[in-house]
Amino acid sequence: MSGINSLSESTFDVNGRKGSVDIKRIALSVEQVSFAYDAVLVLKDINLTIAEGEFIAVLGPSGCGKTSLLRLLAGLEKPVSGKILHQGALITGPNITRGVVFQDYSLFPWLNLQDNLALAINKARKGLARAERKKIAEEYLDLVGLQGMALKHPYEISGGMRQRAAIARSLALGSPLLLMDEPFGALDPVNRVRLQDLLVQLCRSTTTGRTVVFVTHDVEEALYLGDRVIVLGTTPGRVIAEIKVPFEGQRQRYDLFQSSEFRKLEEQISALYHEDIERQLEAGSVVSGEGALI
Amino acid sequence: MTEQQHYSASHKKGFKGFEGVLLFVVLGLSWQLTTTMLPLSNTSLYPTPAVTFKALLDSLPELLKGTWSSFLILVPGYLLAVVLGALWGIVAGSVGWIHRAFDPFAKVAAPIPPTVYIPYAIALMPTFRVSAILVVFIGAFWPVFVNAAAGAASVPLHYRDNAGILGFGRFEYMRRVVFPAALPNIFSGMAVGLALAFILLTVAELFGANQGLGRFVQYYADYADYPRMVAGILYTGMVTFAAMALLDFVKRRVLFWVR
Repeated sequence: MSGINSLSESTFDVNGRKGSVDIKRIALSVEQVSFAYDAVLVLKDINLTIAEGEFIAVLGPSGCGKTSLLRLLAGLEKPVSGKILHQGALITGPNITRGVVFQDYSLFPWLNLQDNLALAINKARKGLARAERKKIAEEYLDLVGLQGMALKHPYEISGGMRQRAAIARSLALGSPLLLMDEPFGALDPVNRVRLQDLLVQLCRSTTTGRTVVFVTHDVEEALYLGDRVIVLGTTPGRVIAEIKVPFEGQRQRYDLFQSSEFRKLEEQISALYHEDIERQLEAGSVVSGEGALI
Repeated sequence: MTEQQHYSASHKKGFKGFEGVLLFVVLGLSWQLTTTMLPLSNTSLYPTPAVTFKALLDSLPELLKGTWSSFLILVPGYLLAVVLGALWGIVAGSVGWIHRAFDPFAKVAAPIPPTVYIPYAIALMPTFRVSAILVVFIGAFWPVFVNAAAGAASVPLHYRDNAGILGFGRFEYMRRVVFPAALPNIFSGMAVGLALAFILLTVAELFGANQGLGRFVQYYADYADYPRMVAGILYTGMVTFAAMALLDFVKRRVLFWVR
């Protein structure tokens, strides 16, 4: 196997870009975590260390447990074994230090965008006057390109706008860690690209930048957004590779997608998936119809 | 913005809705024809539309007074049922041990036809009005409670997730999430409860009132003044319809976000 090493070996770094993780402050550490749902093992022995300010893309086929992993990180589920530490403290439940953007249901439908954001602002900064909260909500909406939409309700706007608002809410919550569960998965390609670019821009900014764990099944998306890509295999979900993304600085989407390095990584991830499936076939653990690739 | 989509809420008018009007026309015509053309043995029992309409106009002041009297029973009883039914339903639907403690009682008490309470309520309470309010309350409470509890028990998981992420405590979660999420169910319960409230109101008035809508009908039936009695039935139907339409209007305003 060339290019990407499996987990048992050291993390592969294509160009030796950036310092290694352990030099930076650790934001999140996942230690030997397993998770089962209805007695079915969903995740097995997950180990991850995420540095502050890192953008981690968790990539995997459907059914690999990537959403479960994100829910564990959020504190919405509890692991059956192992532990997860956020800023050194054990995660015991959901908390405003970890903001989450779900696929398409982050907002309360009975509140307009301003009031949805005001809930988050109210938690982030206690004791603000109502008018002040509304003003801040509008500032966050401006930030994600929703100028003048403060009084709209979620049902009045498109899926792309709802996800913008959900991102704004997470930013308004002020969480140092942002967890995103296929947030652009339900969007059309044009809006997906726009929102990816918005996210890149927000994450590079010094004021809004933060640690991000972004779950996706889209290889291009993972490579475009992530500093590091965690590839999950299926049945049960395990980390099958960690890839440091070698593209420096401001990525130009089209140049990037044309580059041979990008193509190579894409092929390698694809090969990893196939290897994982074959391994399971050999083990006789794949029931037909399950474990479909992406 | 190109992202913006327009959700048109316009319904195609035209011939739709005409069918309903047609039925009214057919019913009105057959009323007119059966009362004038058929050789009826007791004509006073079958007043013609014209006679009934005149009776309605003549008794309008009395009917309005009766409506006011009836509403003094209906409104307090119904509103109390809505407030307590919704609050207690939300609590019982979302707090496990309260649900387990209250559910067996609710299962036994809710199906009792509330009309059977009427004689005892009248005997027990100091005035007829208070006893009728009590009966209306009991009748409207159960549908509101049962629906609110069901709505609170089935709050979608993703609302709960969002509440957790926003750091809501239990009370804030109930107030800001469970209550609005259960509102569609609460309104369903309110509609059933309102229909029941009218039934119980008029039945209670047949028993012991000296004024009110049910009393009006009973009174003129006793005196065999059937034009007025039929007018009273029609008028009561219109009042009930108006109340249901008002509730529906409020529901549409409050549940604007339900699609």
